Amino acid sequence: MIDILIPVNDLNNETNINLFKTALESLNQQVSQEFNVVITCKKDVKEQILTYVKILTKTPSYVIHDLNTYQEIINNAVNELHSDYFLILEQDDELLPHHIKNFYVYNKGQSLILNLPLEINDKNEVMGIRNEIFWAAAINNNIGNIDAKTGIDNFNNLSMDGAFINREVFKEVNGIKTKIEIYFNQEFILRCANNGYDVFIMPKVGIKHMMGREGSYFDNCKDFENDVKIKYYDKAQKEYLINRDI
Amino acid sequence: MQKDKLFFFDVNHSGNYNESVDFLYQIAGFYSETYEVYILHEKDDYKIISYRDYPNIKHMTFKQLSQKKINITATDVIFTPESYIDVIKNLKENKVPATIVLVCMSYSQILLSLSLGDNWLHYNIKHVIVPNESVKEFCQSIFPSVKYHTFNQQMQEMDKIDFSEVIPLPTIVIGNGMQGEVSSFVNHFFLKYPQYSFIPIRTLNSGDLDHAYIQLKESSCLVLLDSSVSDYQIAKMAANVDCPVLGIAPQLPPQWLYDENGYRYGEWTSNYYRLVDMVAQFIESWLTDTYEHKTIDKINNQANTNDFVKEIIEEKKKLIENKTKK
Repeated sequence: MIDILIPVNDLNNETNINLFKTALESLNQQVSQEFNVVITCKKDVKEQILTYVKILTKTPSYVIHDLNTYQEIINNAVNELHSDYFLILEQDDELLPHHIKNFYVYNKGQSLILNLPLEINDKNEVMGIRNEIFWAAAINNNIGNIDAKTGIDNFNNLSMDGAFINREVFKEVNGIKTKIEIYFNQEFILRCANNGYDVFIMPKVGIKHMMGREGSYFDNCKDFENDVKIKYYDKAQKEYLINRDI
Repeated sequence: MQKDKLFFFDVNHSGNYNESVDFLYQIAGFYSETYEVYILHEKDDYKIISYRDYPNIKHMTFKQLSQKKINITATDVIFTPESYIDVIKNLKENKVPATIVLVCMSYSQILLSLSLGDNWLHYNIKHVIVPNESVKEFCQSIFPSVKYHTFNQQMQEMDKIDFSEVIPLPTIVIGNGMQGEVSSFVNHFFLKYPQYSFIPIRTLNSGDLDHAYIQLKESSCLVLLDSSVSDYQIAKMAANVDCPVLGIAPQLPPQWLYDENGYRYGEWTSNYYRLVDMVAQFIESWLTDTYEHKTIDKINNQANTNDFVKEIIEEKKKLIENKTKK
């Protein structure tokens, strides 16, 4: 079984509500329904959510928190999960109907199973595809797998959208680091690869990720000065060598 | 009692799988139990198709044949590809008494090899082996007085690909194309669709059909660039194992591929430059799992039972007998 973890910040405008509905609807559309839904949010947000989760064919469970950073919210929620694998479905994501089915096809016990996420803008236009370079970069050795070196070489291309993460491995590598505010997903992938865990990329587009939603990670990054972004960029590329967030 | 001899003239090849050469080997293999079969090569460093290992067949060059003083007699039969029309001309000029049987390996070569106004009968060709009825009809429309014999190419039994067990790479296999065509196709595809430049495209460099099967098992589709192969054996194998096929539409579609409702399997275009778009569409639908794959029942070829060589030889023997009586 898989747990689909949905972190919800707030549903303060119509766009956010519509995106959230799309994310939930994409779960109903899944060819394989072998998953549980877990929503993590603050107590006051839960009241808002209840109206919308009615469209879900599955009854979700909730992890209520009082945390502020995305990384802390995820790390905290994973402690409450019970399935072997989990997937973080953000409220601006949309799973493609075969994504969960493909997990069961391609899962051979890997620690982290990524896919080829499609990045779209608010007009539903395709901005790009991610993780695909590893299908060409690793062709001569271990096709479709990421090692730390090819990961570093193609750092900008790494994406954890729609990834299936082994819950035990997530805990073993101490989750997502809170002190890195940008590129923490890339750092997490590199840390897994560097620790010898299998990081595999399914050769399928599994998720559509909308860039630029108000209040999203991508949107927040716009507020950082360039030198801060560069600092985190460099930091993430070194930080993966250290397991614990110290 | 000494067996009658059958000589097969093999074209130069790399020793890897090639549908046309495979056809010749299968015919040689079929007759190797009953007759003394020789496959004759032009060069000393000839390569044998290793997977067609028929123990009774003898391989040698033309030079070795004359050194060993193996005579070609009137009751022997020579099988030669249609492209060897000059060799047939030489045989005729040198009054070689054996019967000549033309093996139609690649129908695109038939008219290319003949000079303007020439006819097969001019070269004393009265028997032609064809791989299927489509090629037979085509040949009959040009050379109606020749006797045609259909020889069904046999396909090994292969399991269907179980996509839940293997990891199919988004890989394209290009079969039977000329090397230049392959690179021009790949270049065209990557330039027009740079978003798919991560797709590892590879060519079918199979040493044998088992090898081709392994490649197909890892491939998301088979792309065929050559439209003049006679029986589309690789496409047939792909159909048998459920691997999607895209390609240039065959000029003479074999019966297994075509019926009154159109193509039974695969997606075909007659426009070479449109093929990259078809492949791109396929890749997109494959990556997003929206491709609707049409499968067909396993295609089994009929076994070959008609030994027309026996008839040729007996007819020849009777003729010789009658002549000696006179």
